[in-house]
Amino acid sequence: MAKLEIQGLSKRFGATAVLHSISLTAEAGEFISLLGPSGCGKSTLLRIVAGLEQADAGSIRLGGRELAGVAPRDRNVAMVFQSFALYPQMTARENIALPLRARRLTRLQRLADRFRLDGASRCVGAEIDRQVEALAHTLEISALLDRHPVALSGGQRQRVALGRALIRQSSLLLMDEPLSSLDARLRVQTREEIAQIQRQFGVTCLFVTHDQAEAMAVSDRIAVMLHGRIVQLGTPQEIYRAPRSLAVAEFIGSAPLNRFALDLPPDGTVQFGEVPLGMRAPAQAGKSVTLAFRPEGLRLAAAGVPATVRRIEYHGAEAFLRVEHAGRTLIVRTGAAALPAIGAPIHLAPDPAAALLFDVEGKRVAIEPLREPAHV
Amino acid sequence: MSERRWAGLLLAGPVAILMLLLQVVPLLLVVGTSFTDWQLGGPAPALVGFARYRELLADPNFQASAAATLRYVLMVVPGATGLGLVLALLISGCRRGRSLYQTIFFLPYIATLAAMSMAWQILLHPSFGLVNQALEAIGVPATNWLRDEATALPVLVLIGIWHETGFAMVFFLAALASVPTELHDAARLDGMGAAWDRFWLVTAPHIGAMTLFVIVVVTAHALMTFDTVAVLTQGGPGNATRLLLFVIYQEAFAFFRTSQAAAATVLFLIAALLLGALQLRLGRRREGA
Repeated sequence: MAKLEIQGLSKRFGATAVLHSISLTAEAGEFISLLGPSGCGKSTLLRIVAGLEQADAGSIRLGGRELAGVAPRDRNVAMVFQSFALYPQMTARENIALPLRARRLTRLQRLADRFRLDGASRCVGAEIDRQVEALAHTLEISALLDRHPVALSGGQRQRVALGRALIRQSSLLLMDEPLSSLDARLRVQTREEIAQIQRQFGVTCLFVTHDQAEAMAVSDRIAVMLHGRIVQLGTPQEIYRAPRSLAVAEFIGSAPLNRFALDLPPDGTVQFGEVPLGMRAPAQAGKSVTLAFRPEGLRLAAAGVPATVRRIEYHGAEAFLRVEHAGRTLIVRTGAAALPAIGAPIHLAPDPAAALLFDVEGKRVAIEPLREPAHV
Repeated sequence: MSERRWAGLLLAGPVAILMLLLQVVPLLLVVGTSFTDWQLGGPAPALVGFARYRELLADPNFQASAAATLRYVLMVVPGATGLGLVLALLISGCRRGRSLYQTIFFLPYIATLAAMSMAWQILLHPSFGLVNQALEAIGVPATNWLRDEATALPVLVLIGIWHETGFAMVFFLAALASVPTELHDAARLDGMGAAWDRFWLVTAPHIGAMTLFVIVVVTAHALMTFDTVAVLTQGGPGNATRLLLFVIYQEAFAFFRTSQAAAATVLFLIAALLLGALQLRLGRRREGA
């Protein structure tokens, strides 16, 4: 358990700046996801923390200790790789034991131990074996210990890789898209297990993913990264409900955002189509803004904005309707109980509390109910 | 059905006939000849059974050349394979100039060895060769490299290594490219980050099969060394550099002892076949494991 503090970290590869002055603090035992599209620099950040890449500027402190110039093996950091990176010639047991053997035995002892020659190293080896067995029991992979990676399924390899990362009881666990090579069902199951194991071991965790659902499901906090910057750091609820910018709002959420370009009247009141929202944004009065609703921010209603149903995406408990309004496609999330027919005219009622308003630069701006006094 | 069979015969026929005429029939003729006393231009041959093989195996000159060939192979194969691996490891670690180095070290392999042997001959010339001139400049006495029994075979070995290293290197480079980089990263985090540890933990298991292939092919190449012997030493001094293929050539086309040459060829072929079988066997066992 240790606190991770990243301050002003920058990195460029040749002429391309990959990370722009990244700062991030993870409390001891916290699970933080680095979420962003591919190429946003999240994996590079993780590799710098691991010591596999060198930063150009900035500092990383783990449990108060500065990590610049410390070799990867001495950082007290473990990592689970995207491909799991298990050594194919070794059994699961040997894979998990390797970080301990590398530290507790000398090169010569490792060689001698292979041929069961040296008494002292055999004693150390027996202790390592005990630890591996205990961890395997916790991870429920005891039965798999003598198999080689080729004989393991994706999910089993994942657990072995996790075992190898946890065996040293490092202060910080790094995970680089550890679920991306699993199939969809296993991914959901494994992410639950990862979150549970992380809590059980109390290890501080940095988890890289491009999948926002995954990040929301497992994280204490999410750091959204775009173009080499952390654009927002917050709990999953904050990121979803109060995205700091249009870019964050568009990236988070499984269905696309419904966006409308508006010019606010001089009094700053906001309306959606012909329907007044009963909200206003005084600071943006008379300016161009973007009004956005998530699919659940629009409801089917008896009256409101007229639209036509074009397609229904049925998900069982819920459904997403693709409807046409004024020549544009909108997405509406609705209960699956009473679905309209395709081609049917419907009316949409916006939920004022779910409205998101962004200024011309894409920054989210405050929006407030009409009756309360405006604070200028 | 019969139409398909005709089409099949028609398509496979020309190649089958060519193979028969160019490979199978000559091979059978060689094997047949080795059991006769036929000499090129001599009287009608008679069957002599295994007499030619007995003579050959009892001949001290043949024994010497078999021993020289073995020595040559045992030096060239580890030398070229090891150096090829080291070069491949160095080049794959290069950030720039990778293809330049690759080309430089591969050039000796694609250059015609007979022509390159001429260049070596000039370099190794006892009086005006660059090698001796350079050695004399630093006070080492001149050596007649190709006429001295102690140096002739080692010099051929060095040229053999120089020629084969590029070949081995290219195959090792291909194998090294298939080693996942994440494994190297994992090794560094697991405390096995030193180059030596990473080589044995990550690289070696991934290039094992390729190493076997390279060893077998380089061995075959070394067994078939002819150009350097023919151009540089003619098998001398004494029997020091009479490698097997050169012996076969001499027997057949210098002494016109055709049946002896045929018997030597058959022995040579058996050695090569054993080598091929060994490779297949080892390769299968690896896949099975």
